Amino acid sequence: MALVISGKRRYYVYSFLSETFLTVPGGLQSELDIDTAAPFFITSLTARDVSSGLFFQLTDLGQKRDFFLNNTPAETVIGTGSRPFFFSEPHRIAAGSRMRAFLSGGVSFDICLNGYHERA
Amino acid sequence: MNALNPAYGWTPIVYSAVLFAPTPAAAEFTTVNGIIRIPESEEFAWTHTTGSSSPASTRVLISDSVNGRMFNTPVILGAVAGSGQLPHYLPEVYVFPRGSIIDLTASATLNDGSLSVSLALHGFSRRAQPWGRV
Repeated sequence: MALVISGKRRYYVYSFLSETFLTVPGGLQSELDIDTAAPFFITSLTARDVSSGLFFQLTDLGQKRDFFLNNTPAETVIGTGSRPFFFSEPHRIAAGSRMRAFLSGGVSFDICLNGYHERA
Repeated sequence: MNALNPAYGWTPIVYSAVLFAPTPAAAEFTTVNGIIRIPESEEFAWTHTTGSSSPASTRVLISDSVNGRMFNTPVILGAVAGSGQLPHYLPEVYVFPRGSIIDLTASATLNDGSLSVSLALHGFSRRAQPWGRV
């Protein structure tokens, strides 16, 4: 980690909460909106814990882009606060985009998109 | 460049807070607040976070009196804070201006225990620099 202050980037976390997931065919789904002021760069995914055996998908509805191939086990792409799952490069999400998370089951999970907003 | 090292006047520091709410008489949603005050003479560059909570489902919201909240909603502490052995490093250093007030809110539904949150924000502080210097 480079301990340098960029000045343009601001740490931010978006979270899908357990309570916001709705039952859909095949699992549970939740959506959230990225702030309209600046694009958001997702660097890592975390949760408190994720049960094994669940499949996870994250979709950028603005760009109609899935982050993972189908049937990706949740525990392989979601970390914890102590051990986040880092993308090899930050994912740029356009300002105002809508994000969707899908899980194939489970009862208690809060999934965090960790990253930063970057001003032009 | 504004690197966080002694050459630029930065020194390591930890700001911490403990939030506590006693066991309620009956199961109920409980919220407790706290603040961390950054001295008027210093700015604070936040680099990593450690903490723990009871119950584990406790959610926290951290906001900055200058720039507002840094989470879109209260988040599970275990997803944004690590342990002493494995801290949670921020993807970008977050600088609190001098005199900032960091507002902390913890909430959980309590059944038969108290709410307790220990949170430590690690980073570097430095005395405010004269205008024109970084």
